[in-house]
Amino acid sequence: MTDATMELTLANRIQARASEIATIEAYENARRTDRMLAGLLAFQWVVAIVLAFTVSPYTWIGVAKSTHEHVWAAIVLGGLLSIFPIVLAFRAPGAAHTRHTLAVAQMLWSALLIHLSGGRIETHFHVFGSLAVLSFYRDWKIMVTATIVVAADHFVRGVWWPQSVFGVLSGSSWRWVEHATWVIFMDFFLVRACLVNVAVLGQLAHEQADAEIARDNVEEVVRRRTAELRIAKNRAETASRSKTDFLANMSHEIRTPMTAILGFADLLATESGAVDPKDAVRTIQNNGQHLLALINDILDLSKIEANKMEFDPSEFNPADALEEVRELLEVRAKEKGLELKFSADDNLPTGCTADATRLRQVLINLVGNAIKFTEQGSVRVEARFADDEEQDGDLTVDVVDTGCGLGPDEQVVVFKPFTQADSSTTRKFGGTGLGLSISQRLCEGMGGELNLVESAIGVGSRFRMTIPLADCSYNLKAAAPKSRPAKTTTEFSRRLNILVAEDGPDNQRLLKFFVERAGGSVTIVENGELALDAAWIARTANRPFDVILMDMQMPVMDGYTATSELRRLGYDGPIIAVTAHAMPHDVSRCLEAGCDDYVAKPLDRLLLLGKIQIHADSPPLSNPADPLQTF
Amino acid sequence: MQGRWIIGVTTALWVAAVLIGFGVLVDSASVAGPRDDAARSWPPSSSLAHRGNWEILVFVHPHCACTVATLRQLERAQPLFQLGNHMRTLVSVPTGADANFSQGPVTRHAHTMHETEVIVDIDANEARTFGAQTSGHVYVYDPNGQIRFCGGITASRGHEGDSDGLTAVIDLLQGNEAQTSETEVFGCLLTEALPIDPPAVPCEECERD
Repeated sequence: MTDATMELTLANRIQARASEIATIEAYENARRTDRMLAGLLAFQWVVAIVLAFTVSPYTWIGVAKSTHEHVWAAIVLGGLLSIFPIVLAFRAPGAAHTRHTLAVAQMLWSALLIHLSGGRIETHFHVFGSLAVLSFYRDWKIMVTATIVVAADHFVRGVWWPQSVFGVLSGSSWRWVEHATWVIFMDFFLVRACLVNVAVLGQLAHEQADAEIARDNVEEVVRRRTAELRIAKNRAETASRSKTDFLANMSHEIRTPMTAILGFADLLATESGAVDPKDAVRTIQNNGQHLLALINDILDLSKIEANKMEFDPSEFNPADALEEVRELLEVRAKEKGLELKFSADDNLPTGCTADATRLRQVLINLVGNAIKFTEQGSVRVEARFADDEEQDGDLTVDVVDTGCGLGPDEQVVVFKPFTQADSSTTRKFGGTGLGLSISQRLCEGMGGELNLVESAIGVGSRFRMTIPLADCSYNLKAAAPKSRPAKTTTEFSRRLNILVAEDGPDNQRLLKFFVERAGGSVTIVENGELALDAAWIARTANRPFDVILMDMQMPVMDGYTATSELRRLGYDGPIIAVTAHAMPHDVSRCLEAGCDDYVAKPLDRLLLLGKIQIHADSPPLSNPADPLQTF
Repeated sequence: MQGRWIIGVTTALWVAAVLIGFGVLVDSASVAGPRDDAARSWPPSSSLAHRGNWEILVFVHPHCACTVATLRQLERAQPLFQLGNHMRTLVSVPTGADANFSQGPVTRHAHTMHETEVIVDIDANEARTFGAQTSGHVYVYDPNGQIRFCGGITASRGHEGDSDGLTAVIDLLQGNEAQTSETEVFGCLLTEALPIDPPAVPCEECERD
């Protein structure tokens, strides 16, 4: 609805309400005036009888007397004039017929009183008083009726009893017009007063209607806002509860692997013979990986919540992405005895542009969930492509499982962050419960969507992901070269001289251990300034380090400054950033500072050693080995 | 619909009844009282002496409410009289009336009027002499004792306001010719049956003077 239409509708509402108010007020006024006139008629009747009995009780013939006809007139004619209109005033108050009858009666009462008072000039003022009373109706038509009665009374008397009104037997035939004219003279002002009153009341009604509708609107707004606030409050409380639950779950999720890690570490440290060391270390590694996944999920969610999730479209082969997911999760499916089936339409493009990393993340989450919540049966992944434009189209992937399924209530909240179908689910199946929420946001961020198409308890679920693909092509015979992780190694091909700039003693020892076990030598410094000096001294001494591992956050001088300074001074040896700042923009910042590569904490030993080997073997200032692949 | 029909019929009947009532009332108020021919000249048998001025005689019933209107008319006219405004109000006491009969509202009102002599007309002798039968009958004689006006000065019973009779009285006492010398009289009867002495000169001859 446009503003103009809304204004018109509002104006019509106000006008309609103003008319309603004016009509009600006119009716109530007519009722009040009806009652008032009824009282006046009764009063006049009583006065007339008293007057007749007082002034002219008898008519005489000598000493004989009889009741004067004025007494009978006051009783009978007065009653006739009063009773019927009074009945109407109480039986049909407010009706037009009633007020016209009352007007006729009142004007005839003037005639009767004038007659009973012997035509006294003073009594003639009753006519004008009656007209003034009738103007209370604020109805000009009543004035017309009253005037007609007066004029007709004078006209009829002038014709049949001229002496009764004009005092002469042969009064002018137009003298009744003169009398009526004086009444009309007064009518002019009374009618004008009626019209002005009606106009003023109409204006007041309009203002009242305006105020009422404004008040209604305000009340409506208040009601709506109150409802919204109540909903918001409920949401906030729900969110608060969800976050409380979430924190409780996080606490559980963190404490559980930490218990294993610290427990087995303690056993290794104190009772080396009690447990199989390899088994204990494997347990510590697994739980550490679980903690890392949890932290990554939380980071993803926080980025999504802050709308800071970044996407990096690149060319890839959808079939390859699906195959990678299958390879990754096939083992887990087999462990549970599930059949994992992937199928794709033939028209799937061989090359297209999208954020393949996020796409894989979503697929891994969906398929991983399906495997997690399916005890027996199968998990099917069905991919199809619909090209809607020349080189663009939508990739739709259905993930269908035969798992426990979701009830109607659970389906509503399955994508909500911090909300899990059942808190016990986390206890039973593990995970953060954020996967689907993150996946849906990721799909939306890529311009697609993720929905739960169908689900039934005990039958299974079907999730559908749709992602737009751009620049689709079918020309590539073979898939684009896969971005493989950097080369991994456990031993260097030669003895490498490594400078480690790291302020944490534990990490210093760890890095020293990793490098020395791989056949390298290590020089450790605690901050960027010492690293700068050490690197420059070694270079000056013509014994440059093969690689510098630079922690980016250190006291005295951080890694960014130290690296920048080294590059500014002309140092061209490889520098690998080693940092716990694991966001994409942190990678960019490291590279911009002059680092050749990037390794995120916690450290993957093989990955680290591989990168050291690569950069040690590379010519100076070579391109980094896809640092973003560490995510 | 039926209710409206009933109201319409009832209203029509009401209007008709009211009109009839008013018609009866106005018609009865317009019925003049009986009158006899007045004496053309001051009756010599009257116990009242003609004093050589314009004489205004008003015959009233002491209890006739309608006659108060006649007195009020005269009260308002008195200041306009230029040839004399002395009036004599004769309060008729019919034969057989008790002693206080003459003390009615009309008598009391007459006593309050200026230049007015209130005379109690025992047994209505003077009324009989002048030929008055209806309360409110006014006679105007000129200084020569000739009748110039006889009749009522109200348009109907007890009705104040313009009337041919009042206009004639004012005209005469302002030294002008009256448009009429005789009007009908509206009021109570002074007596039940009033034997009339034959007037010296019939009133019809007033206009011929």
